[in-house]
Amino acid sequence: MPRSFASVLLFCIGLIVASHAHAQVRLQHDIAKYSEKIGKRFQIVTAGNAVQSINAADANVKLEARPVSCVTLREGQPCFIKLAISWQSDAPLDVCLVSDNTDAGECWSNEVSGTFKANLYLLETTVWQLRDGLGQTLDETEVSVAWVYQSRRGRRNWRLF
Amino acid sequence: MQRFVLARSAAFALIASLLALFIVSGFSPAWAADLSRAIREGRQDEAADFAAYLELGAHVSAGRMPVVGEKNVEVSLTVGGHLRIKRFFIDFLSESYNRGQIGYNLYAGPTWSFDVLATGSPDGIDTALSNELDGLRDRSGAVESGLRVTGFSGPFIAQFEALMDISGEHDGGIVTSTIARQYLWRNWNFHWLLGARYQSAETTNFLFGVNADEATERFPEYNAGAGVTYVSELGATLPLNRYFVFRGTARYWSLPDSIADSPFIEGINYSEVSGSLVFVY
Repeated sequence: MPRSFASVLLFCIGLIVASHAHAQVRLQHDIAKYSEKIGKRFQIVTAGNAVQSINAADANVKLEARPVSCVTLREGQPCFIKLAISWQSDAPLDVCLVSDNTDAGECWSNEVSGTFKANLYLLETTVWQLRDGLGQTLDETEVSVAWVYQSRRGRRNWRLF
Repeated sequence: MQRFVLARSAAFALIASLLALFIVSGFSPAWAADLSRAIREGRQDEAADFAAYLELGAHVSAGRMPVVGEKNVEVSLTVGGHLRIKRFFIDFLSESYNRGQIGYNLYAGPTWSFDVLATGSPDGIDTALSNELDGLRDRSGAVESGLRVTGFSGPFIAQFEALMDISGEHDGGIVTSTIARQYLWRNWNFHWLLGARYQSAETTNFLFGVNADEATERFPEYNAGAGVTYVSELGATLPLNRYFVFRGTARYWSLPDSIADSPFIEGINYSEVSGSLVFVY
């Protein structure tokens, strides 16, 4: 009897251990399975962006400004310019045209080309950038401001000689 | 009577000067140099150790001085320029009354600028102006020297200039007061200018008188009195590119009554419209 009891007891312990081991294995399997799913999910999300980036980068985007320069009479005068900035790409893009010195600009959604037109007063040379949804610069161009006569600069003091 | 006219003319020039200076006092800084230049090109940088540029222009003008035989339309090539080393400057501008000037900037503050300068007379009344004046003495050689004060207030410039002849040609004096305002529309620079120039009897006589030595039947002896010339100007300047500038100007002069009877003067009012294409380097 004691031997039978011992046998049953050992069997139960074995069963418990085996069950636990199976649960462990199953848990690991589930974790791996979910991890794979999550990973795939991440990969899908990343892949989506990558596709956008790759498209934007590979889209052969060209940005062009006309005219490319503005001349004012004196240094420091605001320079009036009828500006037209055009872009085009091989693939449809969500892009925005922004500049470093003005608030002017425009956005386009799912377009392969666009033109921004404006009458502006520029105080200094301005860089225009075409950026995608991630803020990545796809192309840029510059509109320079020049002048004929240099203006006053520096500090004036009483100076007889 | 002549003394009264002289006193009235001097008083007017003085009042105009004070008015011009009053208008600009207490305002913020702007620019300097000859006013005809400054109103188009901006204030020169008196603090700069060195500044220089050269101007070559093609100039067309229509209108005639009321002088016998004067041409109505004139086409010319002009040379101008500006050189500044420390506070010494040399300035040549065909559109200025002082065609060429050399000077020294005594003081340049935010509102005021003081210069001492020597300047050549503008084109005088001589055979260069009209062949019919052949036989009269050359009237274009005087050199004057004096003080110039320029005030700056945003788009306004006022200038007061007192010069005396130092060449011994006429020993007269010239006092000029001018005020001008500049407007910016797109890249066009428009301006108006009003000026009054008092000239002593010696100066007007040098320009418009006929002395006994040169008197003829056609140009009898004549002594001109002191008087004030008024000038008004509308101008436009447009930069075509980094090196070329278009200048358009319309001017109206009213010469003093005191020279109206000069034998080679046909009137005391005249106007001129001109245009220039100027290369700036």
